[in-house]
Amino acid sequence: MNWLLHPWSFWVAPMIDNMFMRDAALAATLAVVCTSTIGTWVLLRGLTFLGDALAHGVLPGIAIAWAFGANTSLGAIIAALVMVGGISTIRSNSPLPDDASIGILFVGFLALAVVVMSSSQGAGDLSRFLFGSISAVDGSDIARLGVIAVVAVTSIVFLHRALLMGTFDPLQSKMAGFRPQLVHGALLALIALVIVASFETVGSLLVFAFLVAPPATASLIARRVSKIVLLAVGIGVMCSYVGLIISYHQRTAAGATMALINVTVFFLALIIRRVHQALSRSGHAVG
Amino acid sequence: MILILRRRVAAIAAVGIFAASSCAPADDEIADNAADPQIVATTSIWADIASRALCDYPVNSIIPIGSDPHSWEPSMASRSDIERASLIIANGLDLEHGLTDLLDLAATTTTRVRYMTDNVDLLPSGNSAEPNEEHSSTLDPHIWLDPQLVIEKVEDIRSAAIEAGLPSTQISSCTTDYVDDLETLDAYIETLIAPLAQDQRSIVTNHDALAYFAHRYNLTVVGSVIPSTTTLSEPNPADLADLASTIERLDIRVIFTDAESSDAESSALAERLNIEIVPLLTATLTSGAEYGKDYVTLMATMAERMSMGLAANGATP
Repeated sequence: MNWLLHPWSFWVAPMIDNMFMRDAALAATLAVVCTSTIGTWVLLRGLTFLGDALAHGVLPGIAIAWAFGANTSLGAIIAALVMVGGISTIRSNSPLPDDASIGILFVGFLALAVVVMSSSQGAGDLSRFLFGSISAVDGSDIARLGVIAVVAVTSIVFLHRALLMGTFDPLQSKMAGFRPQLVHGALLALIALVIVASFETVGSLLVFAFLVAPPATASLIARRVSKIVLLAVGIGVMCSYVGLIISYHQRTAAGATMALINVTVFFLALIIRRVHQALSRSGHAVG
Repeated sequence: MILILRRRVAAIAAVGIFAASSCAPADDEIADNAADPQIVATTSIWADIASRALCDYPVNSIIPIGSDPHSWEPSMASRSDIERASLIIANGLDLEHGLTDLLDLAATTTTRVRYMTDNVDLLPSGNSAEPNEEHSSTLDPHIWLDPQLVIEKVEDIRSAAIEAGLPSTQISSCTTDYVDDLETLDAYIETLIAPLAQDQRSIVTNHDALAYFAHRYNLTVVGSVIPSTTTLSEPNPADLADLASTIERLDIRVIFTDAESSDAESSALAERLNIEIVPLLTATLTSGAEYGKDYVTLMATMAERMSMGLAANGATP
């Protein structure tokens, strides 16, 4: 019960005493700013599965880049763009729905990564990229995430109106002169960018958790898109902080703990929402 | 009213998740005596060896007892262990895969990181009978399975601990005592393995871990189910078929598996060929069984199980 009886030493002291906790919290915060701002639109436009596919679809790019001694981030971004291109190619050349074409490429890319890894000895294994290393972030990780966070936020502010109209009122969006394909392409490129920027630090599991869970939780609470974005960032940052502190005290794997807290908070919000709805309904019945 | 209830529900729910995570005592009780250097090891086996060599000086392992070092993921507490340590005893050669980034980071600070696989004649992993071009580039990291190499490393650990600030007077006799224990262990394993005939000395393992043990005691690793030094790979069918025919040709009656990780493929193969599987603890100590309580017991138990398992080889009527 230390978290309740000694809140200072449980919640605050680890951050004050340890530079690495502050670095990890800062890196996680920047990763949340990147992913949850974009993630809100991923959620609203029904692209969650694409986000998942991309978070894992970067792996063969990394594997191939590693095998050839090239830059892994470059490999990752190329893989992500190939995947986005592949999905739209399948979409325009087949009667399949979007989720099928995403699924086909998802499994293809993941299998390719495992095959490449298994044929190049000493290339390590994929678990490193699945879970990242938030416990070992350094200044260059934080700088990279900072730059991408600025790019992501600026782009989203810039695209806000186009995305809003394109998502909720496509007809009016066209009449207002927005080009829906271009806006969609820009959003996909942004998703790829934030995934690649964050996965080396936080791992693809946590990237996907940040992309989906905080916006999903926020959308249970807020209605306006701009509110959802702000709330999602707040929830994501809070969950990361709690996750880091628990990992510090309980020796649980850092990235997975943060992901788990994000999902737990989603379910709490869901339960609270249901209870609230039930109470207000019975309140009406009595009144 | 609704608002109050809502808050109360939120509060109860919040208590629920965090109560589970915070019953254990905070880890502030580690004695932070400034005079005593903090020494940690990555794996429980190296922690035990270092502690015995340094007169039972407290040496904690970053990877907890019972966890497979190949697949373990670090927590923020591991980072804290590494920050506080003045000496880290690590195995190296990518054994503690999840810790790679943390160890690289520690090496850039004032913390000393001593890799046990440095300055050792490393052996290639895998098939020592028919060295294979493809696999020649991978080296086996499991050096502690040769007690003679551990004896060399005891001296290394001693000098590193003294450099880290441990008074040499405090540990001198223990190092020699422990080396004696290890020599006794080595001799004991020799006597266990000695009665085996030449055609009984072929080993099949779950993953490539036994190169040093085999080299030291004149055994031959003829194959492994997962042809990799990590436990995280997946076998391919052609290799498995080769292995099955090797097992039948050499009349091998047992596959040695890793007690700390999955042996599904080995079990399936053993069942198909109607031979035994014998679990060995190779990469971690365990709190669950007596034989995993320290390095010497672990090695002795392993040798006993191997000598018994191998004695059945070539015994088909």
